[in-house]
Amino acid sequence: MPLLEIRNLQIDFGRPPHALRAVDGVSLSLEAGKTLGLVGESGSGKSVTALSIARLLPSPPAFYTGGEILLEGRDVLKMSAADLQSIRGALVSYVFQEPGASLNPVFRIGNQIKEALKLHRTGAATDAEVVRLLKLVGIPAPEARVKSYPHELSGGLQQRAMIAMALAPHPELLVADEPTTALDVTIQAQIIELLGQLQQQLGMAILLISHNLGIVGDLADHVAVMYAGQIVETAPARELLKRPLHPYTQALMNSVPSLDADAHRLTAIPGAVPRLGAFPPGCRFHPRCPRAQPACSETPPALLESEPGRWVRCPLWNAPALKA
Amino acid sequence: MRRVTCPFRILAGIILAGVLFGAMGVAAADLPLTNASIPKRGGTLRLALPSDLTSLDPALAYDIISAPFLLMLYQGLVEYDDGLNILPSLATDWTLSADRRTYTFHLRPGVRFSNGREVTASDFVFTLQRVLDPKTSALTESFFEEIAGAKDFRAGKAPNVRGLRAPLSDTLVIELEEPDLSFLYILTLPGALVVPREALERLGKSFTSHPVGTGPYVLKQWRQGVKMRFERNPLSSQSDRQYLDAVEVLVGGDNTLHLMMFERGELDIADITQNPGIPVPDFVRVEHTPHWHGLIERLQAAGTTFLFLNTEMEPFDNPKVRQAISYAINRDKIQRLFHGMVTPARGFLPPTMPGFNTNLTGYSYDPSKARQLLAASGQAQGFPCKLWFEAGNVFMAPIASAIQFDLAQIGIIAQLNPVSLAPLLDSIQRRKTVQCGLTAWYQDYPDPSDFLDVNFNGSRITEEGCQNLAFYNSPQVDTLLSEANACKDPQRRLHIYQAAEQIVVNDAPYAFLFHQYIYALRQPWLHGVQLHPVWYFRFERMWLDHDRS
Amino acid sequence: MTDPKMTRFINRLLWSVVTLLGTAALTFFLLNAVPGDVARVIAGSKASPEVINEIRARYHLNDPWWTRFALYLGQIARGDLGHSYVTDQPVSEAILTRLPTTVALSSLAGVMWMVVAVPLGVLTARFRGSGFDRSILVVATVSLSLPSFWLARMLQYWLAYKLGWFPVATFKSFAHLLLPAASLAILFVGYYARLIHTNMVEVLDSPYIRAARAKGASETRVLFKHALRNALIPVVTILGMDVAAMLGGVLFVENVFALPGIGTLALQSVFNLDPPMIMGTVLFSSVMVVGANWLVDLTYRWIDPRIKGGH
Repeated sequence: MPLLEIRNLQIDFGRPPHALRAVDGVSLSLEAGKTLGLVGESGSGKSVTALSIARLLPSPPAFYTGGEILLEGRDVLKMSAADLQSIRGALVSYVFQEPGASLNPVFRIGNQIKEALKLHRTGAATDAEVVRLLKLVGIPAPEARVKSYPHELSGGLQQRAMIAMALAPHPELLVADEPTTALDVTIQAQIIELLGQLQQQLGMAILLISHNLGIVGDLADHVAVMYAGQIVETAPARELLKRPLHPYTQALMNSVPSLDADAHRLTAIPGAVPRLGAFPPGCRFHPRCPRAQPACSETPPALLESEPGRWVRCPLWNAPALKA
Repeated sequence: MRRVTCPFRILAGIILAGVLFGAMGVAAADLPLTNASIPKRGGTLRLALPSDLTSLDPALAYDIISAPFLLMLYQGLVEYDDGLNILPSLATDWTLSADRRTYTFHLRPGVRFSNGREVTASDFVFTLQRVLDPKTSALTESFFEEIAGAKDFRAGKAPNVRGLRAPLSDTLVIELEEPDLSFLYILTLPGALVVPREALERLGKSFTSHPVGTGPYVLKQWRQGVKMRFERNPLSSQSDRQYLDAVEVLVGGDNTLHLMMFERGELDIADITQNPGIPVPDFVRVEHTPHWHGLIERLQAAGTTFLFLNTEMEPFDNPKVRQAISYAINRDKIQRLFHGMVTPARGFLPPTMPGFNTNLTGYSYDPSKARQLLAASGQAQGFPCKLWFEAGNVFMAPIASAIQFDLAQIGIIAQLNPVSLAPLLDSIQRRKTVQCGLTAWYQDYPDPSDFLDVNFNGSRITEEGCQNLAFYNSPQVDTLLSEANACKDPQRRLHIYQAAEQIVVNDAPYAFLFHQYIYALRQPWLHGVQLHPVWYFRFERMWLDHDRS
Repeated sequence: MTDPKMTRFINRLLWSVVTLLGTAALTFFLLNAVPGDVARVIAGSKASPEVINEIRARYHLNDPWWTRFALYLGQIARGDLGHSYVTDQPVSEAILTRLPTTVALSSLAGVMWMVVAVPLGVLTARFRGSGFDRSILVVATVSLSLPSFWLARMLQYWLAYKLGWFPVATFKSFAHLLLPAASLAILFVGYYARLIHTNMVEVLDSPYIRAARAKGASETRVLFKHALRNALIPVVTILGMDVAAMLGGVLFVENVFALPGIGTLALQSVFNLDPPMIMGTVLFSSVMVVGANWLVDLTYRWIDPRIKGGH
């Protein structure tokens, strides 16, 4: 049984008749100890999906209108508030995009990490444990840092502290929502590396959300690509990066600068991600798709298994790719 | 005297105690039977005042509110009993010389000031001389000017007052310029309450808040604007004046707040400002509340409220106009307006005054007659005038409105002019300044001359500071007043005053409105509250009985 | 080169002095513009012209206003606020003896309204848009619109006089402060409840709140530990200012309940036409406000870790 299984998740914002569907029939699965990358532009619904795993979306305005989220076989969407509280941190933990904003500015980080420890045990937590965690995430001079306030740390250190806080109660699943987006490029690599190390040491599964295919590729075992609330492609990470099948994935690849690949002109994807409630008819990507056919604007495509373990939401996945 | 302030005036007259016994009967008629239980020692009397007393120096404080407190702290040669009779106080007895100008007092031995020193006759010499000293600016000094040598002393022509002598430590001699059988009354005034020289020399101005006297109580604490506390004087031996352990006075809040506190049991007397002792808006309710009804003490105040008309200013120089006004005013309506707290006045003397004339012919309410008189005086179409009165006085404003209404019915358009007390007095006492105004006159002590001579004697007219508010000058009345002054027969004297009063009423320089009652509302556990005709409250005679509330 | 902290401190000090001077000057001028002969007040209504002239000389009342103002400033620089023209009591003594009452009243009121405003603010933010939130909004708006003297009198009339649950007036025991403090508290509680509500709503939208929930913190813990601590930061500063303003004398409430505080002292001094006392109470009030400004500034630095000596 996979650690995390999302089946046909549907999330609406607002109530009918004005409801806007942000997540439309998303299914994912993640095995224990593995890493799944969830990629897409802003507005694709990837963060909403990720946040829904611990039911962190404020409701209203978000409503879970369909599907299941199974963590260790239990449906999160049906859990009581008490159960939810007990799995948050203990079973699934989060690392967020802006580490500075996600740490409480008026408490010292030692205090906040201790809280993460204490919330899931009956006894006390010691400073020594906190120091150990800080060391684990590679924060220098951890004994002194225990007393620091979040604003006294650089972005990179803040993110490390948040990772320490997330891992303190030994969760099975770590959801990292754009953990490096707000950081400097050099720091980004360090954080991703850290996450990889920690996964080796602690063995938790990671759900890594990003718009950057590059960093996801480094860490993930599998990758799922989202567009306009739907999964448009899933594949093992190396396969996807070597041979993206969906036009959107291909366009994403072409817009990522790469130091080691042949220099090619960056192409921005023309058009913009459609707004909620303003999805085009048929395939949601078709207005921006270089391979679009008349049929694409009529019938919404289903997810097709192109080969074992790979799924694409495009009937033309087999058609010759257009080079940029 | 006027409420709160005291004018300078000279008393000349002869009153025999016998007359006053008769007057006392009138004054006592309104007093309820007192509680005949045995006084208990102990407890603190809780009172309240809206603002601080100006002074506790008996030479400087002379108003109705301060007087009861002065009586707690000081004593004089003589005092009043429950009525208007003179009793010995610090003087045990006295003799009058044959020419009736010289009094010889024998002093009670063993009386001490609260600083420990025994009182001697020279203390009284010091006290009275101090009052006469211009530097003291004593409010009642004019009362004592009849002492021989007072005028020379005041003018700086003599170092001492020759008429004040202390031949022995327990003998005091006071010589007057001329006989005055009312002199003993003057000795009841606060100015004559004895004070120690050394305390005044040591404290100077601050004596006013650090009083030293021989009275049953001493001032223990005075937090300005907050509270005063009086406690038993351990050196005093007047056990029948020291039932209370202490008296506490809260300073601040208005009389409505005090009534609320009283009804909740936080004060022992609702209102000690005698204005009039129960807030006017609450009067009916309190009177009709069974619980409080029996706890209201009432006393006819020795005063009269009136509308004065300046006879030196048109059109009030015409007696017909003045009479018209007296006819135009509906006094019964005013009585109803104040729920019976006042009685209509026909003349100037209040019912408690010796010589009060029950047969006096006053004015009825007759607007048509008023109009006729106006027409006869050539003012048929009416005229405008300005009606002055004290701003902020809870009585004066409604009365002024009532009079305005009554005068409008006969064509006189009165414009109301409320003015603060000090500038009001300044203006109305100034010649040819104010046409008409509303005010009241209260006795300094019980003699008709205090009312009639001061207010209606033509020889008393001055350019400013004049108490003859109508600037009334009638040779006929002046003659009668002089005659009364010189008269030695008390009964005849009163008759002369009554005759003068009738002429004044006929001439109507004042339209007499009403006489007022003073009230005291007490808690059921407070006893000894009978109102005194002169001092109203005498706290040192009260006692508390919390067991039998 | 110069220490920025020191410059800021000196700057602060200068502005405080300017503020106090300005208040003193303004009050002084206003007092002089008021009709009424001060000499006559001091002398009493019966005094002779000689006495009045002597008083004029003694108090320099005939000198031009700038001389008198300069004299006054010199006097306060020496710490001497003068003596009451009416009672001769030293002004500073009068103020100091009244201060404890005002302090007790103000602090009790502050505690009362915070104890009510905090839960109300937190819960209305938590249940935003609900009937509870809406009704509290109405109540809060009403409470901060009430005139202080009316409210004080109404409470006194109904709860003390009619029902006898509280003493009517004066300050004899702690119980005597309850109703006056409640009158004040009711006036402020609405404002503070809304203030805390608004701050809480803003804070609850913050990423760190979501992160706290993600840690598994209960909603209560999220509200009262994580969110409230942040939401109260601006509230504390405003509270400081309000308490300081109250320390200058809560005129209406003190007057209605006849409490011997600075407010009644100020009122009495006006009715008595007593310039030194009026100046003294006004100056004291401004010192309180200026002082509170300082204190609030210091406290702010202490309670908000992000502000530490200016980064």
